[in-house]
Amino acid sequence: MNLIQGTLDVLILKALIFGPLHGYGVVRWIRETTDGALDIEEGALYTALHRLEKRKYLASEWGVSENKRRAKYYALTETGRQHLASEIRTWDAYSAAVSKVLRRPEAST
Amino acid sequence: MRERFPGLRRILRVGLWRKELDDELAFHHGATVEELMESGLSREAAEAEANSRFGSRAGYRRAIERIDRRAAIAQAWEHRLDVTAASIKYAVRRLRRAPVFSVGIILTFALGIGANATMFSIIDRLFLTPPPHIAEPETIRRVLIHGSIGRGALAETHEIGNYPDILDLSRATGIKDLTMVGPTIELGDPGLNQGIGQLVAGDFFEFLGVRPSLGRFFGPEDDQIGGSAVAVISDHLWRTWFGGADDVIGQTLDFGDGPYRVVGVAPPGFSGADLAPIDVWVPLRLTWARMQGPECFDGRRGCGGMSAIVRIDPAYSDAQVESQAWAAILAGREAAGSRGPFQDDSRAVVTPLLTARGPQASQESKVAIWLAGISLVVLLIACSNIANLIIARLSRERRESAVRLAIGSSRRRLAGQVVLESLILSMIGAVAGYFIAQWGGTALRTLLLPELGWEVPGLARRTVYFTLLAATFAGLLAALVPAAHFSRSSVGEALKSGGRTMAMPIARMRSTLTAVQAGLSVLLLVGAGLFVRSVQNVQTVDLGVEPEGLLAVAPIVEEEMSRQEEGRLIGQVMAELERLPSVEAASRDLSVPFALRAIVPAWTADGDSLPPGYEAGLHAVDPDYFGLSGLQLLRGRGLRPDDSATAPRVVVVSESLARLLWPSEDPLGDCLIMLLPPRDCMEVIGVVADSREAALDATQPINYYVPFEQRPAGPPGGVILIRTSTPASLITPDVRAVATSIRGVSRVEIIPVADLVDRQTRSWRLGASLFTIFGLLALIVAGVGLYSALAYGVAQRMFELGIRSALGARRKQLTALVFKEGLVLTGVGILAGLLAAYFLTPRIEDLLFEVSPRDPLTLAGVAITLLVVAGVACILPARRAARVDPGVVLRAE
Repeated sequence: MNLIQGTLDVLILKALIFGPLHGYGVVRWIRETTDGALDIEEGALYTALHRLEKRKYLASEWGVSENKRRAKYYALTETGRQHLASEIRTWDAYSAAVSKVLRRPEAST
Repeated sequence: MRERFPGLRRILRVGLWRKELDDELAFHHGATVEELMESGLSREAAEAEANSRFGSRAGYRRAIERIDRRAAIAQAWEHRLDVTAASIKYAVRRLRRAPVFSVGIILTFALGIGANATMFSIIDRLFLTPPPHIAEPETIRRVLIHGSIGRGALAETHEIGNYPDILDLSRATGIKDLTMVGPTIELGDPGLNQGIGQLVAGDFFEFLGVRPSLGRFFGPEDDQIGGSAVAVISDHLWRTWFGGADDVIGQTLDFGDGPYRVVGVAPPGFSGADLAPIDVWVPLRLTWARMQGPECFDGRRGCGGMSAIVRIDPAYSDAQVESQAWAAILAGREAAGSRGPFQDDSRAVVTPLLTARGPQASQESKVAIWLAGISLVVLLIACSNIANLIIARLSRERRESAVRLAIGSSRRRLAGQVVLESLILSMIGAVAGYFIAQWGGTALRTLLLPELGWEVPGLARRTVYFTLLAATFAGLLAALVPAAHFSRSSVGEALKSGGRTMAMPIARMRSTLTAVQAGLSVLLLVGAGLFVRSVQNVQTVDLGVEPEGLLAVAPIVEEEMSRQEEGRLIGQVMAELERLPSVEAASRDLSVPFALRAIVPAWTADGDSLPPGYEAGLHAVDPDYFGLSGLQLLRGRGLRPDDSATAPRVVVVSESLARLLWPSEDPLGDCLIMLLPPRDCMEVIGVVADSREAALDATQPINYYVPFEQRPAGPPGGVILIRTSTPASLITPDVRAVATSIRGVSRVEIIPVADLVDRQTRSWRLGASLFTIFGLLALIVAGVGLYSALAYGVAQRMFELGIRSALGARRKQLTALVFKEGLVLTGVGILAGLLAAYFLTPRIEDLLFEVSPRDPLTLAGVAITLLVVAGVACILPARRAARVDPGVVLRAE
């Protein structure tokens, strides 16, 4: 299943809502949460991470990983949090509208 | 000092982010491989799987690097802004520590910038911005004729005038569209105290592409001879006179020739094709036919007074359109079989819509250009004075800046700090200057261009932009020399000298700046001096006619009156006016001094006529004329009541005319013949003094005077000149009442001749007063600058002066030392200024009145004035130098 443009950004923001993660952690979280249903190239994910950082939705800091290695951790900024909330609202409204159309019983026509 | 923020270039050069990206991706790869191996894959298989999960490594890397690079640049800019904000805070703190210094500089900036902002609004109005509401004004031109009018007259640029000639212009290929405007008229509606109306062609509004704000504009269908009269009124008239009521449409105005129905209101600020405000526009053909009779538009005869306005095809140059236009007019003339008023030397001229930019620019607009130049000079003086002050402050703070340099602050940063401080002060000065411009501008506009409206859309905005621009320029300029100083000063030297002695470059810079100020002041004062001398000359010039107490009364008679009846009626009006106790004398004439001149060529019985370029003015007057006008009779006799219509024809000539036509003989008894019928001999019976009534600076005050009763057929109408000792404003109502009480007189125009002279001398008086104001301003600034430079020099040289004193120098010698320095400095400046003036002032020659632009008296006077000011500026510093106590000074070391 391919991703709709821009959805990856929302997924990343959502992944970080529970606390800072390094890139690998974000990848793992998305894979686990979606049971691998989404086919995302990890390169694309890193591109998105850097883009979101440039837009100041994310802030990064170097830290030490679980297995004691130097890793770059990303955290959601306040702007990022607000952006995520508004994206979620948009998404809900959008998907509700689309679902309404798609679930319309064909018999009534 | 450690750089708090990495510089932009450093960020890009080091590329720290690239290494971080490597680390990040390596970590990711390692973690993925580890996890895969834990789930049982071999290392090779795990590596392959990790790579495939990541996708094109090279591609993603490029994409990410691009993002990171931009992010790094953005970050660097943010840092730079932070640095700037910090510098500004620091600069403001420093400036607040020296309030006298700061306020002094701000005021100097305010004056310089304010003067320029003031002039800008005037320059913008006259030269830069076309009249408002006109569509595509850049394609609009005026078409004029350059050439002589009539035999032997001076070549000049004038309007085409004739209605049919203007219509012929449409045949020129480069002219896409054309319209015409007639004269402006003073409105005679009794309700309007003073309104200006303009006659415009029916297609005028469509041509300009302007939309009415209420009702409609009139079109060609409304401009019919004998049609029902309509008018468009200005927004101003609508608001003031009609109270802004919507029901203005359909109301009528009466200008003495019948009612005009208002059909529309023009948008606010609209002034037609010219800049001066108009209150009412009326259809040209309709109104002209009502005022002057319909024969104006009948065939070739025409009746003048029309100006052509055209839209040109951008594909053609103005020069091409000129030749096309002239060819079109000639073709039309040829078809009609008459040359009309045009001479062999005539040709068409295409000029910009803004008259100030064309050959018919007013004297005021030329003065305005010079004033703009002067205000620029004032700004330069202000900047050099400020530079001087900044340098003084910097050298006081030598130790501080040396310490900053020593602990690692870069020279560029110190120089930048100087520029920043100067800019901050110039911006504050600009705010003050803007208010000066608001206040001074209003005064200057009413002085310089009282007839122009200033409610122009966008003018305020452009003035603000200009003020900001001027402030930036001034701020940078003032900081230029002081900032350059940092590139030269050495740290060690500054620390060693302990800020005591003035380093040579600084002394030299300050001296140069002082001399520059002196030079620029000389330039301005020379300008001021020349204008003041012009005004003196204008006021003392013998006009021949004495304008004070002279009133021109022009009765406008009802239509359809023959010339004979009109002449009789005017005689009747004069007789009634003479009965008024306050009227001392009265005479009829065809000309009004300084306003209206009937130019009629004349020659002797031998056929000698005036040399080319000279024009003779015809007067037809009553015997009292010479007495009441103040013209001195030099030889022969004046006119007498018995020089009646039937008596032998006689003429009195002016001195210049006599000299030009009869260079070696006595004109008395000889014949003068004029161009107008009956063209017979008029015996010269007297010679009177010259009257400079054509123009004050006229080189040709040539006139001749015939008895009114013997006046030639031809020039219509006539005016009455009266002499009175009662002020014009008091006598006007009586004169008006008497004149209009006579049957046949519909209204009367009354003009004090002194007002007309005043208007002519205005540009000189303006030039004199404004040049003087700016010149004095410059003198004060330069004087204070010299004083501060000298005082500072003395303070810095206390040690040296102390030693001199200890070695036996006398007070007188120490004083002389200071005076010498000050006067030499000023002297150099004066010489440079005089030299500049010598080459520049000839350019204002045509603005002066009978003063040589290199008038030695003015040049000498200015030089002496400046030397005196310099001497005064030396007094205090010299006294301080003389009082130096060697003991005190040397102990202080």
